[in-house]
Amino acid sequence: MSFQRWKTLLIMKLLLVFILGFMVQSYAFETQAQDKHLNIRFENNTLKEVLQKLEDQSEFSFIYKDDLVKSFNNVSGNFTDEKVTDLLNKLFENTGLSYTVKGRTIVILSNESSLTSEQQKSVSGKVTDSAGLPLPGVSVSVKGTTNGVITDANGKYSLSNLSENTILQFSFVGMKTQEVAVERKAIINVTLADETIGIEEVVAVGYGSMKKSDLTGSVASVKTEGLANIPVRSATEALQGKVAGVVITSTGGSPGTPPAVRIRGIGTVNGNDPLYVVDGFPQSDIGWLNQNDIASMEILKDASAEAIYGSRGANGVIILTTKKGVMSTTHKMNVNLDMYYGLQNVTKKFNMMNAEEFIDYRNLAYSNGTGQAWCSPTEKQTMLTFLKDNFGNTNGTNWQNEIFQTAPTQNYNVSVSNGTEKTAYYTSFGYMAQDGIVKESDFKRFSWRTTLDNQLTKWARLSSNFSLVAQSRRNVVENTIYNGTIFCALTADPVTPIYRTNLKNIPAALNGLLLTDKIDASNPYTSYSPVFFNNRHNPVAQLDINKDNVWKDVTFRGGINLDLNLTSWLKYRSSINTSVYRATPEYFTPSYYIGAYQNDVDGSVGNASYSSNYTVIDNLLTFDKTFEWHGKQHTTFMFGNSVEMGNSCNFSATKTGIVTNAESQKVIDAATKTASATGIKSDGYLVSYFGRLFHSWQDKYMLTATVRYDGSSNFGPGNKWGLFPSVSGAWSFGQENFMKNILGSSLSNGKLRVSWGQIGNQAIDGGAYRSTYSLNSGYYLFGGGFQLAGGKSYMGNPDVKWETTEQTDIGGDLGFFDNRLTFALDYFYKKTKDMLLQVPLPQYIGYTNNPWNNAGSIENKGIEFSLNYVGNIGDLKYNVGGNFFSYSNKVLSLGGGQPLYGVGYDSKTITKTEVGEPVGYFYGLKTNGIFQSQSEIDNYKNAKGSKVVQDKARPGDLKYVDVNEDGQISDADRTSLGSPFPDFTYGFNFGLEYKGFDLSMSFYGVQGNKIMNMKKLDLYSGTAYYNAPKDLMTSAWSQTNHSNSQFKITTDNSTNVQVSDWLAEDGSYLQLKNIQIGYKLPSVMLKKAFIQEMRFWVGAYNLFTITKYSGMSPEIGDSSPLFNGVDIAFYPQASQYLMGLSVKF
Amino acid sequence: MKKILYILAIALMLAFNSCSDSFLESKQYASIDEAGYYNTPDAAFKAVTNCYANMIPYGDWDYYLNRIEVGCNTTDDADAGGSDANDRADTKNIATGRPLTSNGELLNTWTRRFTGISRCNSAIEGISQATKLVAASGSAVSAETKSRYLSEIKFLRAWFYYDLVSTFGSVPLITATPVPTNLPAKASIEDLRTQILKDIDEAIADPNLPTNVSTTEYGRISKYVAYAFKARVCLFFAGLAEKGIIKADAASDYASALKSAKAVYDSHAFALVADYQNLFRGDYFAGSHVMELSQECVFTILRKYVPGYMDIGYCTAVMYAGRGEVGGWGGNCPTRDFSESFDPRDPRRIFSVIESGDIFPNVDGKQITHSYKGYDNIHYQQSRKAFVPDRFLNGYSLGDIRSDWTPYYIRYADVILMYAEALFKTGGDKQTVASLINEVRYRAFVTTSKKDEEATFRASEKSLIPINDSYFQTNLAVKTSDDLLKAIKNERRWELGLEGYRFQDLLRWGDYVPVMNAYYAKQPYANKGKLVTDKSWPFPIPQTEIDIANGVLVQNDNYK
Repeated sequence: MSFQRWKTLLIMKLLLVFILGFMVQSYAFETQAQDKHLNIRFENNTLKEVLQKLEDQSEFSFIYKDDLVKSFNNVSGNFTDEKVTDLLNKLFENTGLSYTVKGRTIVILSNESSLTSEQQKSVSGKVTDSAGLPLPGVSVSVKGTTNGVITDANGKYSLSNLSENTILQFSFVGMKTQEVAVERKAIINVTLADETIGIEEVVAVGYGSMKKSDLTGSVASVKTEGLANIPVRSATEALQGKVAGVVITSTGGSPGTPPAVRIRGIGTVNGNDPLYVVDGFPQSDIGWLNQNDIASMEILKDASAEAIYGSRGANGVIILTTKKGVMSTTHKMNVNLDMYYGLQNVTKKFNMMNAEEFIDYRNLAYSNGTGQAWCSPTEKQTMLTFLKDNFGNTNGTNWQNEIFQTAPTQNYNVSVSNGTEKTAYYTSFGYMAQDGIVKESDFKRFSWRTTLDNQLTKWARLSSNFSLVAQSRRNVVENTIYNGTIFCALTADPVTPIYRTNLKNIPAALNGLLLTDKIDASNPYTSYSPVFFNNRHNPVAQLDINKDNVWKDVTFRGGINLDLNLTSWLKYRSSINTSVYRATPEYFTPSYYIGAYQNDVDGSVGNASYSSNYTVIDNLLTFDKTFEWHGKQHTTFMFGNSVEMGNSCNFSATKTGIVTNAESQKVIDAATKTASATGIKSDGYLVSYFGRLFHSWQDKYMLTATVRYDGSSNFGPGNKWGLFPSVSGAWSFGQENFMKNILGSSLSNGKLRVSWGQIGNQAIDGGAYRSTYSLNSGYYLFGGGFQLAGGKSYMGNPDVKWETTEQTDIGGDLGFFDNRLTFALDYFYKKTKDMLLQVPLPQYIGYTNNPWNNAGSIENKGIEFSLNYVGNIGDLKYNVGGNFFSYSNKVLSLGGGQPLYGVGYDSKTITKTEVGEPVGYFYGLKTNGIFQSQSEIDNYKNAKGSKVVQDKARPGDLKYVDVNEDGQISDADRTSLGSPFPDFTYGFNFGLEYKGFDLSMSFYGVQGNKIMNMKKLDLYSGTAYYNAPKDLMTSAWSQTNHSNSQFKITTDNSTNVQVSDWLAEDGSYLQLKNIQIGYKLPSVMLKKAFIQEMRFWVGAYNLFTITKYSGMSPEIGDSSPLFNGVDIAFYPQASQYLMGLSVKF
Repeated sequence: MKKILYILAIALMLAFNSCSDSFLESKQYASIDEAGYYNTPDAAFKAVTNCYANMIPYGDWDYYLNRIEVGCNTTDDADAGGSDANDRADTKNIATGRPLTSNGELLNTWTRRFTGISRCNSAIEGISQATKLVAASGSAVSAETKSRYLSEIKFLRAWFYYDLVSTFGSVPLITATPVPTNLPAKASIEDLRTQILKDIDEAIADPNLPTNVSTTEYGRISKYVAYAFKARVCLFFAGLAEKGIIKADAASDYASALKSAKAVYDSHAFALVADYQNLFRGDYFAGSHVMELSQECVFTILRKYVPGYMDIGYCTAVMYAGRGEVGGWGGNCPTRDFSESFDPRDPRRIFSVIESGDIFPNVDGKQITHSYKGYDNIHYQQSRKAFVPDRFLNGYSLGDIRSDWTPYYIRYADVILMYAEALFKTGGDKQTVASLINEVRYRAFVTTSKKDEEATFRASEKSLIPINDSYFQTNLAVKTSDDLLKAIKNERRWELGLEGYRFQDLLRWGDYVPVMNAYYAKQPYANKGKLVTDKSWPFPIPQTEIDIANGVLVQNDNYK
């Protein structure tokens, strides 16, 4: 048994012990409660107060009708060492009251009713939920009266004194109220159904909540139940394909990588990440948040919803509400256990050439390019013989197989919640561990979150929460072409063995490359072989060398809210939230020498500290009143202010000169040379005032207006403050009688919404408005010694100010058949003005940096719709849903009109951003096949019919199109090669439930975008500098193979490996994102084990992808919009196979 | 009543939160604004130093190495080398004679020089406008010192501009910090020439610029440095004018070159190092020959690997050493054409070129036989001038760009040969021309050691013979009857080979096209010289710059 599996088992065992401990404790609790002896004293209290005291002291709660106890205002007594039941007997003497004990609930009844009960009919029964589990606390009342009881802990109730024509009402929060006529029945068992997504649902909006039916803006609400079991770090990633208008793209398959989240397109060329608000606390990312703790997610998509967040809402806002305990009289403890375990595999590998094929390839390239073969047949044979002697075959090294692995992923989560009438808590502990599909990469997260609510008085509530999250992460060298691990594994030649130790029959020619004299028997890092035929790293060695670099962080987040209901219509909330972030990464590079391009003879060891503190103080006053004046009028007015303060301080220290690479030396004190340290500090502030006015009339006509006034330290004097207004209206036409007349009762909801607003963006460097000088920019040597240099270090722009996004949205919602069928459609138009941009300046003006500017404007417009249906056929319940999002993006202006170029991948221009075109469209030369002969080159004519000169062209080269028709192929012929933006994205999902079995599937698709496959420049360059996929030899142009798509194999291919449409590929894909099959054990089986619910499931994530794209994965995201859709050997996506278990106690 | 108290509390909290603009002021850490900067001690000299320091960023990858790549590897003297035919593709691409507009080496040349020019402009503006400059000691900076600083910066601005003009021809002329809304366009080569000479002449004319610097100020600009550089600049422009490439008076530029070179020569402030080998031992200004070196070296960028001050030394020693056991990257491979051009009796060959089979001991005493097979080195040779023997290396790999290797930006031998050339071109006394050339040759053949003292075995030593004064005068000295211009050209190749001057020399002599075409006919490897025509130079302006400048900057006509 491997250590990893042993560890997993151990964790599961510990969890079971933990849970059993809880169960035993809660069982013991109930039996002891009745025997508990109390000391209590009261004088001239009301009976209600007395009962309250008893509740506080005992473990019991009381259920009674107010009018039953209200006449007892003068109760006195002094009890010592009394059992609750004895105490009540004494108390109720001569009061006409009696009681029954049900578990920890005591129901107080009137003697009169029980006296007369025998004369009339009695009914008893049990209330269960759809899963067959008992429902305690359900109110069972006689329709038309105030009489009634509440079900006990086992869901049982009994009522007497009823007549046959009585109708019983069973109601419970979150369930559909049910009515049953008593008639002659003596036992009435009822199963309550979950309420279908009702329009009375309350959703979180900025600084408050609203009934969903009152919303005037575009807000998508996501049920989070399905998200918990998706094996991703960040809950947002699990939203992929689930919400119209939200495009989520993985930015790499490395464990723990945050996804790129784009709400309604790309509004700016810098910082498009949405704002997250977790229980009122603004955050820039939620990778830390345990998905199991999320109760609901609301995505604010239009300006009317976002504007209340002012300067921070321009890219959309995602509001998350976490789970909390519920105050109740039933004192029911909920314990949930969720866990899954899975295995991950790389979705696609390239079929690279083996050693012999590579030698042939290289010989061909050299013969064609330099006129002489790379190696002689004898030399080739020598290399192959060497491989055969050592490895038994001549295939050489398959580097991809050496770096990829089948990697486990696992997640465990336990939560416990409970509540009394005045206090409720929720606490959860989660552990997530994901290994990377590339060896030596992983991510681990421990998270602990607790919320505690206290009803201080009838009108004051204090809520607090805190969470502690500890993460660790190890990365390989990712997302770079130079020495990226993936890139090296694709390009390293297969002749190179992984290790240079224990090789036999090394021919002299290879010995000079292996550098076997560099092997140091005491240093295992020197056992790796340098890559023979190019200057990249041995990727296996690289993994080993970098494995001790670990990122570690711990974050404490906590907050306190004080809610005061000052009057029935006036509420005040004051809150303070703070986060304390401490990251302490550790770095270690061993001392090693592998080859000229891969070595560090000194080694180094370092530690760093990144610390930041962030505090937000909010004060809100909310006025909320409903009154009658020409019908029902409902007004809400909220205003408040908010102050944000943040500071950070980072430093790091390193030393070189590792004496030996032993474990004990991985600490700075063990290193011997060149101690160095760096450190920086920064701070920032934001002050805001905001208000929202909402009014509705007859629940049909609604209007919302918001305004926010923000001041930010990111801007200089005169530019600090910005004002962000919005207004929106809705007409709930479904409520109109004429609609009811037309459609009858089938239309359950119909609403039209219109909104407009302005939102801001302040995401720039804190000091962007200041030009600064450095007093220390390094040393220079004169004869007398070292002299410090100093000078301009940052070019600021004193005029830089807010970026503003203006958005208009027109949309509607429809619901039919009790909202089982719902439909939402939105059109939006979003325009960004004064876009914050570091306008790239030419190098020749010699600035230290590109200053921030308010340059340019971008528009995004599009439509989004979603359709969902929930239905059932007998016991078979099903739901289907789909969403669609299509938008276009266009640059309206760019300040001085200068286009922006995305220059990357070996300093190549890949994208261009200019007026009238989408942001970052692909830019390069257009090709038109391949020159088949010299005469074709000589007779090459453009569309105008005139002669075209393509410098250096030879038969077998790409034929570039003379776009500007000047008769010369040059950079002036570069043109658009397509857009990284899809025509549309879509998602669809469906679920089935049948007698405990369930199945859910979700698909995500992207259609009509282009990807720049930059990897192709190296893998298919034909120069044989790097290894290449096997198919290159057959697909490349040659005298006998007149290919029109893959140019000639030759070392001299510089004219072919330019940025051209040869690299642009169709990026459309459809992916089965998630599939899950579950089974819930019948509750009868579980009852004895005190288990309410137990579900087993198996599932797969990223199971398959349908695409024409030839790279590793078509899902290419980049945090910078100028490099959207540019594939540079990203860490590939994994497909994951999972099994899981959820248990509720 | 209680509720009223709460409401009061709210009012207070709102009041607390209503903050003023001063709250919205983030602090400034580690940096300072312009006015503040120039009030700090030593600020002006730091700003001057910053201009010098432009020549050493990132271990000189984009400054010195780039000089070799563009100025040497594109010629018949040396190939780019590297791991493979495709490695160092940018340098090989220039060497064909038709570089792509996306060429990275050209972009490096462009960017690093313009960064330097920007630092110079910023420092000139800051220092001349500052009202109370303070020296490191706390005393006020005198007007004389301030004037000297400005002259040094002007020299450096000219220095950077000369690199640009000799590579790209016409480039934007920027003498004040530009604003982004008004991007400067290109200036003519003629205007650039005027500006370069104006800056040098102003430095020379400044009475506060010392004629020569003391040892503690070694590495700073003096009048002699400025004169020597002026000779180089004038010879270049005179050559271009002579060939009709630019409109200038060739004769007057030759005369200026003569006057400038003569000023240095006549000063007797410099002398040739007796043993040529001592120039390239590997310990440079850290070693025992430092006094000798500082006599011959007119201008240099001093380098010394001292952790904490210069965490990286010169990367040259790694970049231009052989691969495999030698521990380098195999760049700058001297051609056979170059090594075979030497007189077999010329010891400068052994101190310029190492061949496969030569043996050097490493620091542990192990004898390393250099093998230059197995990578992109068809000549099986590496530069001895950039080779730092193991015992002078602080460690031994790329991570260790750690040697005291130092380049000679202006060497006295160069000044002597420039003097000879200018004298010849202005019709000066042939006997003087010949004796100047012979001064350089005498050191090479007579006083230079015939043994590479750092090596165990050098194959090319065997053709060397002892040479005394009379043997030299009879058999090796240049005579007035010889083709003196050819003699000067050859002497520059042998004396200054692999030091980065060849390309500019060929260009100003008008020899670039014939020499490289002939080279291609003889040695067509990697298409070197294949596309060299009179349209090859000036090299193309980087396309990314043209893209970003959006119409203000235009491509050179020969690359449109």
